[in-house]
Amino acid sequence: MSQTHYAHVVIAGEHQLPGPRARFLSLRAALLYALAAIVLTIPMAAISAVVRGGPGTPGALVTDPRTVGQRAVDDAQTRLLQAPDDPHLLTQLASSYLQRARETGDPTYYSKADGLLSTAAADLPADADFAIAEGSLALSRHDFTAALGWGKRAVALGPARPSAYGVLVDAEVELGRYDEAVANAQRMADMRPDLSSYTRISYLRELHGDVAGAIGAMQLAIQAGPASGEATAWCDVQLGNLYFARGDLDAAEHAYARSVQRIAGYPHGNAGIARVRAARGDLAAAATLYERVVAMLPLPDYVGALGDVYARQGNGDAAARQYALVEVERRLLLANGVRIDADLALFDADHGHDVAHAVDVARAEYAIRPSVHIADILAWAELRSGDVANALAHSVEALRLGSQDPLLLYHAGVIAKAAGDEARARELLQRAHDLSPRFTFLWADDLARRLSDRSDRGGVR
Amino acid sequence: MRAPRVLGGLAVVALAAALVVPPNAQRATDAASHREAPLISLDPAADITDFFMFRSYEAGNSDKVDLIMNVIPGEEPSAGPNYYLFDPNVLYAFNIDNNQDGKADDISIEFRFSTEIRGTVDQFGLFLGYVAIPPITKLDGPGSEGLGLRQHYTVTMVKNGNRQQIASGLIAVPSNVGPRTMPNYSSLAAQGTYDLGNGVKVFAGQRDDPFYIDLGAVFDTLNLRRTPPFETAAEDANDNVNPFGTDMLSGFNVNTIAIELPAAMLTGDGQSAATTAQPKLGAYASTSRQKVRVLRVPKDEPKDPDLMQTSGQWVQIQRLANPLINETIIGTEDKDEWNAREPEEESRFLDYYLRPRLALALELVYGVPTACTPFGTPDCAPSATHPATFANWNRTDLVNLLLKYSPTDNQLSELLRLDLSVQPTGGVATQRRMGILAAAPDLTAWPNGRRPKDDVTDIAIRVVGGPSYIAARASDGVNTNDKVNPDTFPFLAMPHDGRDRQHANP
Repeated sequence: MSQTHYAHVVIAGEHQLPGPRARFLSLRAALLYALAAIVLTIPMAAISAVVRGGPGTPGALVTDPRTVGQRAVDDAQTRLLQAPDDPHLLTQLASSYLQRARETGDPTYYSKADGLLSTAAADLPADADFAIAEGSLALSRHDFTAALGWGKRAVALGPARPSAYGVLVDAEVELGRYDEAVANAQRMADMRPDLSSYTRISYLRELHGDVAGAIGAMQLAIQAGPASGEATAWCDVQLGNLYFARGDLDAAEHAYARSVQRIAGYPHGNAGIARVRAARGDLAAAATLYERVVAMLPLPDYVGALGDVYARQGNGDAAARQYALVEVERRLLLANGVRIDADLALFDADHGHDVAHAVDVARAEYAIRPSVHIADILAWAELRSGDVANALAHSVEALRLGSQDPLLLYHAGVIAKAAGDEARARELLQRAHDLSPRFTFLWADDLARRLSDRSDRGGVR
Repeated sequence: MRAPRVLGGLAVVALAAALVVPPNAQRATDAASHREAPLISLDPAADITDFFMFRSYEAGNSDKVDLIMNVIPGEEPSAGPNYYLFDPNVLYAFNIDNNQDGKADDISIEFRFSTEIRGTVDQFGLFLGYVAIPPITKLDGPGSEGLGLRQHYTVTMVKNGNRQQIASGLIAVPSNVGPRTMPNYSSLAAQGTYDLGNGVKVFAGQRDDPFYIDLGAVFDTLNLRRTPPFETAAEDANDNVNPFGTDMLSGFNVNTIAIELPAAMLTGDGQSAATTAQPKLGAYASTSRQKVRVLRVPKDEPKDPDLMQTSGQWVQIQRLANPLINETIIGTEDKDEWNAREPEEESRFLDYYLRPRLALALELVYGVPTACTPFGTPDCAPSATHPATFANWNRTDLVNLLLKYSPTDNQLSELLRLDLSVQPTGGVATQRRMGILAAAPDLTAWPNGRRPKDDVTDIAIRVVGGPSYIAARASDGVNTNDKVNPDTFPFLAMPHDGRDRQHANP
């Protein structure tokens, strides 16, 4: 049992402790242990397996309580006992670790997978599975340039393998190469129309502003998925996010709830429900749910969201502790090779943490991957740092595909206002509001205020 | 190729998997915030576990031919409240070659499903698909109120390019939830067997998984629970007792699509089984989905959430004719492509048949030489150096057996072949699981068609292993299914119910 196990028991139990002081002490202990883990690169074994089901869990089989990832790891390890140097088995074990990372949120699995793949590399100079595994690892670590190379290699070695195209498409999307991504997603879907290709179709449609089409494709994916499968639950959550972005909170909650019904305690689904509760103003319920989520899967997004709810409840100390935990997660991810900084630049910009650094990070990332999302993060960070001119240019970039994401529209509206373009600001903010008035927990009130001020004063605040 | 699955869905393969096939690794993701979709997902509703084709052995029905496909591997009966549905976007088809040209394009029988969400479930926003308010006793009308989810289906016959819908509005039999919700499941299931007239019957719905195998032992690098000789003659002759293996699919269900029709509706000359001059049928089952455009065009048209912009073109997701081909013959790197190809394109996979990796695996594990050239060929004497000469192996006998109607055929097609001129043996009790390899040979077993009873695992190990493995009565030690299959349509046993299901293995 690693030290981090203990650390996460502490974090998980933290919210049941009575007073702020006790919480503070336990969090300090947690931070120390987590930092120790970074140094030692010890698996955070304690982060509970997400997909594990208990008795009576839908789809959970009483005969085998292991997750898909645990079974895959066990299987590969058993077979490696008989052939310890088999590069195919090493690749398979690496892929199984990537699945475990998905289930647990524990990034130390990336380092393990990396080590295995390094060992196998020399023996597999031209192997599609190896290239797919390397590509998956690179994607998980947000090294999209490397993932693009592996994706191309995987397609060259396995031209009939849909998953090779999956790596390629994902890399192209994140690098902002949308035309290539669309073309390769079409090849993938023509080769095998199934959950994996439908989810990519859905995302590309969403990025291009076709939310209705994105919803349709995600529903196809769900119908093609296993009833009690993690992949299907993941699709439910994406569907919920699409409904949320359209302002249909009931449909969103229903989709999130369905994922939890498939996989008991599914943290992404519970986080979605928490998001709906928070949007509806039920802060206590949102906090309780987020606490449950981060105890299982302490991803920075969810930890940060919990902090935001605490802050809105007036509990600044509790919020600060969650924000501090985001920093721990950031370091843990970085220590395991995940290029998380650009994604967290939005968190930093939103929370006023070292905005100048956020701008630097986002700008550097934008040079590597000029995607609409990085453009949006960069624009928002630039605005928050007072650089309106560049913010305006980048917010135009962020909307270049015709996105209907209310967050992007809101950012662009606020930036347009700062740049003095009242008409454009009004139009963008109104569109964000029409789509989803509670589009984000942090900024929904600001959006409403800007729009109501506008009606009073004929302008946007 | 049958794909039995480990409990709960991790894809594993039946035979020689340990040496031949890594399981699908699901894509890792989402440890950070970036959105990562699954790279490979299980696709149970399009995953055909078994395909059967045989002359009916129901009394007085021997001129009928039955075609059965099972999908959705390893259905845990208690896994509510989701239960198991056919995919409305999948085209389920039986494809038949009746003129021996190796192309199964003469007749196809297509099944399409749609899902209806009904009353109670809708009204209360329940997640339960099936509830006992009141108990479900009918598929339609009074007594069916508790069916919150119901699947309808159509059956279409395509003969020489002419499409004819032969039935619509049929109802698929739901998963067997348990005795409170469905107090008389057999009556419910009987309502789901439709007589379409002209001697045609169809069924769609849940059944017991008829496949039986010691999956764990086979998957553990062919770690069968005995070494050669595997079964005694007496054990081998007993089709009702498992001498040493564990049926790891016991207590699991599948979703079944079955159709029975007069042989004359399938033969090339329209004659009955007794009179046809073209008695050899070749067939395979397939699942397909329509192509979908990534971006809907033109983009400025009004958005319609139902408009998926499918092209009408179908893409084959999976095919299945003979059992175990994809698992034990085809190499991992070619499995995706193999499934997408038509059976008549099998020559591109010829090397896998000539040099079967399963044979190599058997030899390496047991140290018993396998056949490396056709049976009886003298220049392939058993020797310890077989693995070293793997590149020179030449199993043309497997090619003849699995890919041809007769050894002189030039067209290689991976089809399940049924010779209608062979009279059915009789009911399950008189059938021999080992078919032609049984002490008293039964000529109506796989590879002459395939019946639920046939022990394709043991037959495959022995045929691929060759004379030494036949002599050793190689076996996984599982000789019978956990449920006795009926002698009447749809020929598969009632599914285990969710409340009282049991698995024989730990």
